[in-house]
Amino acid sequence: MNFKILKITLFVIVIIAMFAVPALMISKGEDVLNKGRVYIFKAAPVDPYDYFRGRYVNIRIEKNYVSIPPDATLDFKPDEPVYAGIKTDNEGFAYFDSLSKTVPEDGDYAKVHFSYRDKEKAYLLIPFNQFYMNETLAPEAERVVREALVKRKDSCVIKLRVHNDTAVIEELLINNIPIKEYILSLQKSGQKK
Amino acid sequence: MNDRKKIEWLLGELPALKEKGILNGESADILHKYYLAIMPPKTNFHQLIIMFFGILSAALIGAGIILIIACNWDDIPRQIRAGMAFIPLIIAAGFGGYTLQSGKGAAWRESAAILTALASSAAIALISQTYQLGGTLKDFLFVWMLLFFLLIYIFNSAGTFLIYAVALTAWSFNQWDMFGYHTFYSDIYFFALFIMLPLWWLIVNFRKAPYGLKSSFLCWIVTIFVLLNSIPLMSAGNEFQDKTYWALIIAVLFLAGAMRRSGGAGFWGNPLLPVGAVCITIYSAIASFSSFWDHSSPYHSPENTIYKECCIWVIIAILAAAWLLLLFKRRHHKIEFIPALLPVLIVIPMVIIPMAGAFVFNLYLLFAGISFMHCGFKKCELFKINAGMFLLSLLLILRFLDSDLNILLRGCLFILLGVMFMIVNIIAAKRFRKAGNEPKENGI
Repeated sequence: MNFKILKITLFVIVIIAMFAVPALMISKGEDVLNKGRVYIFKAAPVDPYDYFRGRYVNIRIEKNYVSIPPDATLDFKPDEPVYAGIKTDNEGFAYFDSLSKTVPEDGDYAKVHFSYRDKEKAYLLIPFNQFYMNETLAPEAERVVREALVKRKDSCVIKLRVHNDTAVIEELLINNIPIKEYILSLQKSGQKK
Repeated sequence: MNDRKKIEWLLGELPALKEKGILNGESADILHKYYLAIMPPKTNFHQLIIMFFGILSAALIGAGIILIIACNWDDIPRQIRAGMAFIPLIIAAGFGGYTLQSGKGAAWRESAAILTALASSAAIALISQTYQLGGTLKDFLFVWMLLFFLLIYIFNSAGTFLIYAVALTAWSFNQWDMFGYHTFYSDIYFFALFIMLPLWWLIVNFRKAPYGLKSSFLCWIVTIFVLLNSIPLMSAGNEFQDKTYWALIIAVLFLAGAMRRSGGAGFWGNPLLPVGAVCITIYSAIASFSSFWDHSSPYHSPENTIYKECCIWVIIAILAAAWLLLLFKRRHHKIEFIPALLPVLIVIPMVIIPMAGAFVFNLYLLFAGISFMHCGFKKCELFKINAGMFLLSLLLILRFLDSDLNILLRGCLFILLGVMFMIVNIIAAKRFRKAGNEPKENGI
């Protein structure tokens, strides 16, 4: 085969792969947003910048652990991928209730990473911890979220959609209002710092 | 001296050889024709500048696209944003396709490859942002590197290789989790894979023009990134593994540099040699302290989880070192065997009697210093004499720092060493001139 044709063929394969990966991500994202079940997690924040993906509000899920009996033995290494079962408590907030190396047979779950064990808690590294926002709104969002959590002035929760092993943050809610709308309403009423 | 300079010198000598009757006219013509045909082309700086600006413009356009995308256009509907993610990729694909089809030059190839790689990263990032898919930088780099590494081969692009090396290093350094726990052991095989992916391209380029501009540029990238990637890789092991690996890697860097030098690479085209030499000196100096050998025995942490993985790396490094030593044996460069001894001198005391390690390294520095001085005097090379004296002085200073001598005595020692350096240089230079040998300034 001609060397030039081989190069062009390889380039076409690479380009197809480069198109396929984002296309698969879109399909996964649409699938979760259309078919996924909604869970509400309590949150906690910081505000960094991702050079590739832009401004985001870094949110930590408050209950980023699974409660375990003190005598339980855990066979997980740090950063090992694990499946965390999701349940909802009496107040309607979601939490992780179980850990396993294999896909749970029933109920919703999220693919997370095991971090470490501290007595009766198995801490997790949760991949859905960034809520991307408009460049100009993100610093304000961070301020609003921090005030809501530190001063306990308002409620701040994460609306997460879960489908199969994929979870995406659908919205960050302050007093049950999407954060963007909440900031815009604050700006309209002149409460912006 | 590079190949071109050597050939130019030989071609310049031919008329004189013909005149003196050493070569007959026919032989001289055959030699002239042969060497003219194999002489590497002269570096075209005009082309180089065009290529540099081509790479720069592609990198700037790519970075600009990433930043525009990073703005998060959340007023635009989700599906349209998702569609927009493909626009840079479509443009880059068209540009790349045209470059390949029309067989354009290096500047076009570099630009097309860099633009395609960056467009691919922009597409993944935008979709990830649009759908709030989350994920870590580590995951992102993993997918991205797998997607674009082939561009290095397709476009024969050194710029893309540099991006790949930076991405790989960022990926390796992201092996610590948010609590500072090291997690490299779970990805060690992927790391090996990522090292292997551009290896064939590197070998081909080094073989094509071993001492050309591109090889020199690649040599710099390889040296810097081998050392940088060694940091997270080896922080995952126990002390025995870390110390053995470092000794092996810097010895291999030095030997590879010495090989490149004996082949004709100049100083700027061969960072392996000075970097290897400096690292070996620092390492040996640290190993001459007894505290270095505490907890160094392999029996201290038999349950370490990455023991097996590290053993694989140690075996690979030993094989590489053995291969290089074999090559050296053929070329008879005896002085380079001294730095090559480093890994052996580290492993044997650690396994047998770690307490003796510091003593062994004091002897090693002493032996290296004397050998370099001896070799320098023999070959009339001031650089080697000074290197030898530097090693001996370093040994003296370290042991004085180690002792309880007062500051006055230490001060006197430094002055004495300085005077000794000066006197030896003056005497050596005079002797070499008397003997009719002009001292050579460099020599390793």
